[in-house]
Amino acid sequence: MWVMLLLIGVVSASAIGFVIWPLFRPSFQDPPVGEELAELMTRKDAAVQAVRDLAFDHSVGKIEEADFERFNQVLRLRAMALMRQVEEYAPQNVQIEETLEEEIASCRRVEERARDEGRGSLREE
Amino acid sequence: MIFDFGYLVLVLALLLSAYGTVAGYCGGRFGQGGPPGRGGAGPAQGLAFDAGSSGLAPGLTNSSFHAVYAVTALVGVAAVILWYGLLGDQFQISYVWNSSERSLPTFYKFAAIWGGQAGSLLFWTLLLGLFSTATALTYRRSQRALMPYVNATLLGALLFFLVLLVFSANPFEQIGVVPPDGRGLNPLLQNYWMVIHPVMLYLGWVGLTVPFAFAVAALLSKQLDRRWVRTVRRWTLIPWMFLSAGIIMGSQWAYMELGWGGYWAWDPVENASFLPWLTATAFLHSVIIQEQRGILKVWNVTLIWLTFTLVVLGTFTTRSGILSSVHSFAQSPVGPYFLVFLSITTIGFLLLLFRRLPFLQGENEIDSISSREGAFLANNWLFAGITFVILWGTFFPMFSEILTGERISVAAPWFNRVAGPLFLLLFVLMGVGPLLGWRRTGAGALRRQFTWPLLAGLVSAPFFLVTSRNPFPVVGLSVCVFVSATIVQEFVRGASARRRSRGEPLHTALWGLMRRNGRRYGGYVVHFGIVLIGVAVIGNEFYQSTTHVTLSAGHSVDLAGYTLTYTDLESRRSSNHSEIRANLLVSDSTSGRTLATIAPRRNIYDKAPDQPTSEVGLRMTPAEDVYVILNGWQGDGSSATFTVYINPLTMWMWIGGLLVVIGTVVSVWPHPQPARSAQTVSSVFSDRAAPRQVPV
Repeated sequence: MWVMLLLIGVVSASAIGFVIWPLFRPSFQDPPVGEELAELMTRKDAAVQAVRDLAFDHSVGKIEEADFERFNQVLRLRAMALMRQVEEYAPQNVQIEETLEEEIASCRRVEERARDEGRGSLREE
Repeated sequence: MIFDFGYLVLVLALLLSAYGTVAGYCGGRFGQGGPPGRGGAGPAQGLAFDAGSSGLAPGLTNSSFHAVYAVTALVGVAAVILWYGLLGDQFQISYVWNSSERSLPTFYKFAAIWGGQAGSLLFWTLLLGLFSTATALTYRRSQRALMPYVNATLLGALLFFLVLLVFSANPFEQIGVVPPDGRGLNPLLQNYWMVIHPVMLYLGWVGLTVPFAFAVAALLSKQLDRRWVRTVRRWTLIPWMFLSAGIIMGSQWAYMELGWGGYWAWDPVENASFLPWLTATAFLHSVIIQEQRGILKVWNVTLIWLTFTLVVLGTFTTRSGILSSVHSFAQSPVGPYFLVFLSITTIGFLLLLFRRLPFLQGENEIDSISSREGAFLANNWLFAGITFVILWGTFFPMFSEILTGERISVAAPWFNRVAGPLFLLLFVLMGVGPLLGWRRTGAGALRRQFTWPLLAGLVSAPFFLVTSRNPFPVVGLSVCVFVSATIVQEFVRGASARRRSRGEPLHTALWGLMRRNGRRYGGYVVHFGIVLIGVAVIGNEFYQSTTHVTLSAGHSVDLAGYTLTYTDLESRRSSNHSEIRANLLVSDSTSGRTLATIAPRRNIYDKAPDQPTSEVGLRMTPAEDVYVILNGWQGDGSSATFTVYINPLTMWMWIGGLLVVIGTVVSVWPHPQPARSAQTVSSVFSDRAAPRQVPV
């Protein structure tokens, strides 16, 4: 009986100590990850994926040429607009800046090409 | 003593889960520091959300993570103690006494933990703890805003099950004396499928708590954009796969063990597992629309809640004894607890959803009904319709008793008649959906996409007409051919597109498709598995032959091209039961060639002699099963009575089930991602003049 009480006492003290320990140690929120930035990245990835899906559907004959042209333009503009929004955050976060560098550079090249083709400036999503 | 310790460990887990629920909620609430930026929030506001949180919030949030780990560990200790009791024949424990016996094979002693009420609740709690821990470890860093609330919700669910274990279904309850032996495990559960099938179902049911927790967290934190949806998709697919496998294995168990010739009887407990499967499947389709188009947000959180509610409702059905079933637990006092929990979660969730409606506005509209999202929407309506029909049929006995005082049950024919046509429509959509592109598919594209699959379906119809004059199987099988043709076409066209853009050989292109676009092509593999299950259902439902016969030794019966000759009866002894088996020769009626020897048998268990189980004699081939049940016999074996079934195409059900699992694994498997910087902006924003060059 005493052994069991001792055992449960030790287990209880350990478990409770483990659970409430974070309350008594200096804890800081992680460096700002930026929930909005993460959300933007997700939206940007989804937009990029949507462009790829559309191109794939078109390549297997599920989208008519005229529809493809129309939707493709809209989706590309949306993806680039999101990339530009991501870029606004990028200076805040070195890692993201590094990982996005090439992506944004490519985006700019495409934007320039689109402008050269007379497609006008990009509008916001 | 060790069992008292086990009980106290559960009490401790209960207290910590209660604390963790509050800590998680407060951590999320204080950490939020007011509504996070949305609607005009700029970068600064988004970052201020993290920096401006209360000093206590990180501590509370971290404490809720620790609570998840601690509760899981404590429940694990309790489960190990119960396993020790089961494997060590500690019959002073009421649960062990009721669910085991000395001569029970070790295999079944281990499985006995989910063979009874209290043990299975403990096992459920353990799985829930493990899922909660896996979620906490996976998203500890990446979902800082949601995780406090996710922890709170998961710990809240754990708290409910721990309340049950501590106050209503104590697995460590002792009976005061030490009986010499236990009462034995339910004979029906002594089958290898029953060892694995409940585990799969539990993994499915319990796992579906995770998407519910994320939905609650997204609503509470108002982080209702696309990120949480992406997260829960995988955490819905994995339990969905387990649930699918569990349902198929349960069907296999019913087919092999219950001995009535079929695998699905629309029994309330079967329906209890099928209902959340339907809503989870609907969610897996509609979530794609939300990811792609940012619409159906309210519908998706509603589907997640509905799935979780149906899991709890199913568990309540199984364990309260409210509906009679071949494999429900006996009437027990846990029913009211489930009702209270169900009421709290339902009212709480709906109130929360109502308050968050302004945050759940769609970002777009469906451009055309002739689009993949249009097909998915229709598929969701059908899933909702089927769910309603099955729910209505399942609970009709209860409704009728409340309204008329008379308990009226609806049987399998009612379910088949009402749900059958809806399933047929669903199959049609399963073929149509993949042929449509996102946003809009014009007339020319429709013609190109539908020509070959439709032709395949139509050409096959006359062949099926030869086999039956009943239009339903003819239409059903033709639809299955149509769907299969669409899947083949999808693979062929996808591989061709890849070959054009990359110049790969066919097999490399197919492999590349699966690797790079596993989600889409894994989904097609799942669809093909479902088609095979549909083929098996049609074969079994419309082409089954049966006879009931008494044969003397050496005499035969002919059925559907087979001759079955009864040779002799033998008796065998196993550790805890006797087997009576009748040997039958199966031969081809036309050629007389012997095809197999099968031995249907009856097992008579020492602890339950009045509850003999049937083990069917089975010869399984892709074309049909010869399925024999031993009903009775003369003591000297001079004659025996059998029910013989010829079940066409049944084997495809198990193969289809396997494909469903394989397809889901392909779909969930993380496909190789190029470095984000190279993620193909170059490919996406490549020369628009050559869209066909986009890698697929």
